[in-house]
Amino acid sequence: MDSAFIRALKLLISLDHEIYQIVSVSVRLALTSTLFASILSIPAGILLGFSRSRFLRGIKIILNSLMAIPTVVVGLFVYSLLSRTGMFGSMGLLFTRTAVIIGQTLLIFPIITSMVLSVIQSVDPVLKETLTSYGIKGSRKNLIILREVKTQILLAIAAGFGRVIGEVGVSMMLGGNIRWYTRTITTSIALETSKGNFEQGLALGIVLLIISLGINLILNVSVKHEA
Amino acid sequence: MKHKSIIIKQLHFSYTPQEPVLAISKMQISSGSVTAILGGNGTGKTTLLKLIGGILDSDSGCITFNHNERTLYVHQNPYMLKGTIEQNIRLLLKDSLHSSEGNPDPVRIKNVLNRMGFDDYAHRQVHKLSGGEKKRVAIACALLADRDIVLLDEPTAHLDDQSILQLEELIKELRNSGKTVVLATHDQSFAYRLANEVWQLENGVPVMFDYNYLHGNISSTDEYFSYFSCGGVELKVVPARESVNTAVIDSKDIIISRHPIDSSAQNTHTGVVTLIEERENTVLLEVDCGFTIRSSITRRSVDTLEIERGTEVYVIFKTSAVRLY
Repeated sequence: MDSAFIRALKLLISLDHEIYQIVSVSVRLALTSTLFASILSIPAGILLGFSRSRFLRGIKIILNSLMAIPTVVVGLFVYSLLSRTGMFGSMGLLFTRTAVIIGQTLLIFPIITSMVLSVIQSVDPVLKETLTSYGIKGSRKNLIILREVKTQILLAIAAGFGRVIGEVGVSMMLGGNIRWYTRTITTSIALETSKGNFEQGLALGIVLLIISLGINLILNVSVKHEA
Repeated sequence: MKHKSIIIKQLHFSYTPQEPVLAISKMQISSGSVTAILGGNGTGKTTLLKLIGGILDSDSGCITFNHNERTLYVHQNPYMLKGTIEQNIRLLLKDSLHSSEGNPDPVRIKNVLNRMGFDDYAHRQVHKLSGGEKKRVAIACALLADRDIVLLDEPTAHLDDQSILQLEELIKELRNSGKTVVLATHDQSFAYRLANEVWQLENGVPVMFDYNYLHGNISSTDEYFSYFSCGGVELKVVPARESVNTAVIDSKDIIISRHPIDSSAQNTHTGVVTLIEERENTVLLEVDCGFTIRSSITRRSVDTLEIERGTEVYVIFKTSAVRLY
């Protein structure tokens, strides 16, 4: 095991072209899907957070259920839409990076939406009372509330990114794990480990760990700075 | 008599139908004065302030304001927006701070912050402020917001003696600038030192204390008494420390007479009746003796003594009836 770990480190230090291509694809796909999911889910979360709809409770239950949905189920759902016989089969998107981005976006949409919704709903009631007392209403009131919770919204985005960078089901089913194209860190780890090629799997695992630690570090610093 | 700034009639409020919090048939708060609302935890003080401040809506009844006066409610633990003191003021008061150029007036902000003791600290991050400093910032905002009625919820909570003294000065400043201040507190001493009127909330029902709150200072002390000076008149009180600035006398402890009485009571002052107000079982007289004092007597006494507005009377009370704060 020691030697496999050392070989994994050597692989990383030697700047192995394939490893860094896989990392690059993973990060780009994760960033793109997080961006698209954020564009959709942050406004949705904000709208729901400020909404007083009587359906809100039901929507929250659905969102919370979707948060826990297995990645392969999302993969299967999108697969059924993009496969040759599916609704969007004619677009030829299956086993492309676009398909992975669609799947990952759908995967984290409920996560970010639900987190933003909870953040807004759990705002200190004293803040709302203070703004009401100062006669601050409507969009200006909401903007000030959003200013107060922007760090938590950032944390929701980070949680979404963390989910997609570490998922395997969507990438495998919709990307097809195609070498030099849709192979990601997690699909590659699964493949290389099944082949007995531990050092490459370990090297990619280390990269995944570093990315995860890096995100948490940046968030920690920004939260501390804000506090 | 001062006109009323806030008139509350037939006000009912409950958070749940089973537990009524407030039931007020009538309550009036004088304009340009400090009114204290006393009561223990859960008696409805905060709820009442929030109803006056428009943060809560009542189940029934009405609250009317003199000339559409605007309120500002200051929470007992004021919420500070993230950022500096100045950013807080600018964000909260964006609409009321506009100068002719359409931007918040920095000179006015600076002046108020200076008065609040924040001359060098406007750029301080609010999360580094102590509880007392946060309250001072909240009061600074109230001064800048230029609201007619300022509602302070438990203003002395979590404050040290020094901060309470600073707060008292700020409240006096608000009153002196013509604002109506309503404060909810369980600190009786604080209430008596500042208030012109005190109400006690008992199970959601406000009861007005017919106390006299005389503000002045101890001018001298001799072998028997201290002399409390107010309105150019000296009251004989029990020997007291010099820091005393308020004398409280229950209106029921004030004797009204048409002639001087030879008795153990050490305070006898002449005055003119300026107001006769019928109460449920008593009559409240307001007498101008150089300072204004109220006495609660029976209808029979009013009739027997033939008291009318303008009647000259003697106001008599014991030294021990004066409580000092």
